Amino acid sequence: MERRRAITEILADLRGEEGRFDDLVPAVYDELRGLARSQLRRLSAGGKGGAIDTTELVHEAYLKLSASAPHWQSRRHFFATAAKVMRHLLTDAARMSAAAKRGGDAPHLPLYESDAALVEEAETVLAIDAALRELAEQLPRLAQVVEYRFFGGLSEEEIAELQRTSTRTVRRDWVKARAWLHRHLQQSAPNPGGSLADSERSNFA
Amino acid sequence: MNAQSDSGRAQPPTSSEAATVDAAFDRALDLEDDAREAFLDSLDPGPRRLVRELLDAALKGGPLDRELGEVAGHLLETACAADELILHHRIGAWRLLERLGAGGMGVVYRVERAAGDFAQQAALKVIRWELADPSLERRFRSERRILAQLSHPNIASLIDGGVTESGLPYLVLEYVEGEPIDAYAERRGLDQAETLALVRTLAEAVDFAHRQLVVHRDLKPANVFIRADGVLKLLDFGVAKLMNDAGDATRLAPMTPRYAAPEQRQGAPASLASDVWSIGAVMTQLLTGRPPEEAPDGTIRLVGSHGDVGNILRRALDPDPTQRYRSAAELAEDLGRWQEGRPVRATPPTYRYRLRRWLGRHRAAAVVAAIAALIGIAGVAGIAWQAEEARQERDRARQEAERAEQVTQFLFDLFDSATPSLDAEPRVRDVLDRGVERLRAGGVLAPRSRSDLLFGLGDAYKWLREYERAEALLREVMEIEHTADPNGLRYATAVSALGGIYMLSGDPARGETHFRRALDLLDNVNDADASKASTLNSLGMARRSLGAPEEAIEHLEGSLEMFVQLEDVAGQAMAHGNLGLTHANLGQLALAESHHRAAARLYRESEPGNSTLSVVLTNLANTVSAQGRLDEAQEILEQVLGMQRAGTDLVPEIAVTEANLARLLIREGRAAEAAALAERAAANLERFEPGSMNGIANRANLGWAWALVGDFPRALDTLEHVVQALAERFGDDHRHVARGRTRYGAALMRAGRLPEARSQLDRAMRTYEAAGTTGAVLVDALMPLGALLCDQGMARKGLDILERAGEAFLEITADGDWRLALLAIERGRCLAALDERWDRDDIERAAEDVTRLRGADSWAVSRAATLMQPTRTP
Repeated sequence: MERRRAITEILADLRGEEGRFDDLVPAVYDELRGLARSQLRRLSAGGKGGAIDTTELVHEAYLKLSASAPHWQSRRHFFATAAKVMRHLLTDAARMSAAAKRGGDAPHLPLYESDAALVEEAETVLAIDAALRELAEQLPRLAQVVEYRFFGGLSEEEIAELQRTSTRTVRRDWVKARAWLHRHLQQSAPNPGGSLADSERSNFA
Repeated sequence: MNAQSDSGRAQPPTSSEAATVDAAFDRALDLEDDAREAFLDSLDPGPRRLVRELLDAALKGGPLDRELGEVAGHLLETACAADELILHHRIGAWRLLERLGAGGMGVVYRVERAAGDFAQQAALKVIRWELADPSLERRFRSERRILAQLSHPNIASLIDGGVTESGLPYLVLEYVEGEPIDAYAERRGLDQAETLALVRTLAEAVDFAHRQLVVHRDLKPANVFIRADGVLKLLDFGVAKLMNDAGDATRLAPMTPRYAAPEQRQGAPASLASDVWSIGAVMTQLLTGRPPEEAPDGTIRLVGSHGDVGNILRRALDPDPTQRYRSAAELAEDLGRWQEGRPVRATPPTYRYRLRRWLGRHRAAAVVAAIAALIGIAGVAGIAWQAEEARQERDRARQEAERAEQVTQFLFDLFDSATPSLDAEPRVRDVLDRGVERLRAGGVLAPRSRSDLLFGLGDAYKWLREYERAEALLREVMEIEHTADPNGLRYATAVSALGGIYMLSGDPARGETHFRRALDLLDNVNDADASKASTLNSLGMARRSLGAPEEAIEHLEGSLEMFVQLEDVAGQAMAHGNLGLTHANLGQLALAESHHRAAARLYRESEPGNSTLSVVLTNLANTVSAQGRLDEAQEILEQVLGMQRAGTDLVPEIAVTEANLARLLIREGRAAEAAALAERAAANLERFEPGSMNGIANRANLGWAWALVGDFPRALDTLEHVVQALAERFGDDHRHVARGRTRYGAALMRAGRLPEARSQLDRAMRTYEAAGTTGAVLVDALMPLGALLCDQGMARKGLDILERAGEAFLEITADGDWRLALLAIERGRCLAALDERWDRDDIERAAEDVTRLRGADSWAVSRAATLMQPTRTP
């Protein structure tokens, strides 16, 4: 119960102040993982299959954590943290998975379903993470939008509130950020399609 | 795979390029086909290509178009299930047992490894960040080594560490089973005394690490565990730094803002002072149940912490790092004082505190001294007795100032009115002038407060070396007090203080008259023992200046006795210190040393952290080195330097100590190190006390050190200037000038410029002979002169001079002094030049001595070597 008490205090303390949300990271981390697991159980129990809904995850986590500290008003920081945590969680897993594939000494994750699917996901996540890091250096606001929307599952309205801007700007930023990232991904990964000259295309015919 | 795809990859644009391209992209998105084409054509080729690529990418799909759950669903599942799944795998030699937690920086596991018959348990931290390049990895390894040596019962030790094959650094730390200190305190319902005992243990552990030069950087309740057996264990020492080094700065910073010092949160590097703040924050959490709350101006709102404990907290949590406890040890000591019911040293934020802040922004020595004089904080350390005298004056000024509330208010106003804005800092002199003006203009003050203020201002002018102004103000004080009560304590005190000013302005005789008059007056005053004791002390120092050390000792001993009666420990320390100096004048070095040691002990007891202690220790080091115990002296000076560097940033004090240390290093034959130290000291001395005797003496040592390492251009230039400066100050024929000439001449000789060397040394000798100088100073001139004459073909005359040097030597030195060996060699050279017998064995031994004692002094070694050449026979 120690942890619960600590979370309550952290949240009670936040009261919308910037720069203090690092304390939240472990709590959000655990909460997200726990919720993801129960969502998975629900999904498999329902026999539906299907994928985890990260938007639902993040909002559920918010409801749970904020319920434990009713005075807490800083949605902003919670969502910013949640998106970042989700990104860390996945890049960690991806890195470990990639390491396991190489036979490294990182705690390796048993690869259920198909090995290939997991490896592909890991590579995609790592590529997005790398591209996002580069974008963050060049156009930080755009990178932030991707983190919120893609990793945090936040809506345009929520992001607008977080960035204190309009939904229109968020929408436009997303279009641009998406183009920047996809362009980066195309360039860094071998890409047989698209912009190649016709003469090259025949190689894949 | 297609080679074409790689060649299309361009360098990532810089952020300003990216911003330009992004703006163009933005615009292009708004335009329809033809207009867009026209717009694109108007762009430079580089941006045009990029914008086209972006428009292309915007039309096509990619992973971001799908939900995260679709893109990485399996990964997320495995990540969330990882707890159970990763267990029983290994990292290095460690088997993972349980996931203990995760944070922004990584994941922590409980692990074990086989160690003999039992399994050693530990906590293993995998740090999220990749070591981007090999130099980071090297740094990670070397830091790890330092941390591994941090062995203390209250610090969880670092056991192992490394880099996983996937490139993630990890650390293995002592596994502590227990609970965080805040949970422990709450569960056990600790009272204030029990809580502060824990904090004291914490501060002591932190201090231990600080003395190994390791900063924690992330002190917080979650990092302070109490084991089931009640033992406190500090976790993650220095780990934050390792992580910082390993990761890139754009990620989450490895510190916890609520417990991080304000300057650390603003991006300043962590320091001893920021750890002190964090201890204060943990203490606040334990006492009030919540971390410190900062007011907008950075000061701390403390709820429910009053009195001493509140003061301790305020001191630890001062937003200005220089105003905090100077070390975790000082904080621990204050907590100890509190536990023992003694007065704590944390100062309440009175006017004095505010003035210190103002002071903190001024760096000139004079400024420090002037304000120090007003408010009685640590002042300027010198090597001379003046520092002792000054302290006494300062203490008196403090007593006066602290007595009158009115005075306090006046000073407040003074500083406020003189500080219209931050970027127009007033000069101290301006502040003081304004003070005098106001005093003269306004008639609202009571005569007594007026007198107090005049006294304080006079004292401040004294520190600015404006003795005339100081004298005028003190005369005014005397008038006021004389009118009030010609037989009173205050009048007598003013007379004594005026005497002090005469002493400083170089008129000890007039000082003496005033001290004697003050003593006469004090004889008829009740309860004047304190004043009497310090005036007697001043009288002693006046007699000492007037060349009557024996009599001085009588007075000083009298003063010491009175201070003992008064149980005034600081006074006793002062008297001991001055007795030490006076006995040293008489060459009674052992006695001097015991007084200095007594002074040091008493200062440590009465006022730890006082800068006077470093003055006393410096004097002690001088006495010890004069007795030939150079290593010991050096140790003491290094201790002083450590104290000064760790403490307030009074650069002039540090410079003086560095200068002293450099002098010792020269004597130990470590000229290169001496040169480096002296050079730094020289820069600071010139900045803070331009033209001072300390500065000139240090220059002389610096020049000599350069000569010893063979850097003649700088050596000769420096020493020439030293001689000039000394001559301007004392007149051509003063023995101080002769001392400068000696060094200059010896350096010229080493540089091979014999006639010029000869002229300097001859002049020095004439001065010495006229003054009847003996001892080491004389030897320093005779040695190079004798050697020089031999080199110039006047071996007989040279030999005579060297014989004289030998005689003078007998008085001052012991076996093992390298100069004796050098003297033997020079004698041998003269004898060889005269074709007379010289003892080859003797010279061989001397050459060995020189090589052993002066290995770095290639000149001295070569002097022996040329003599030992096989062609020359005894």
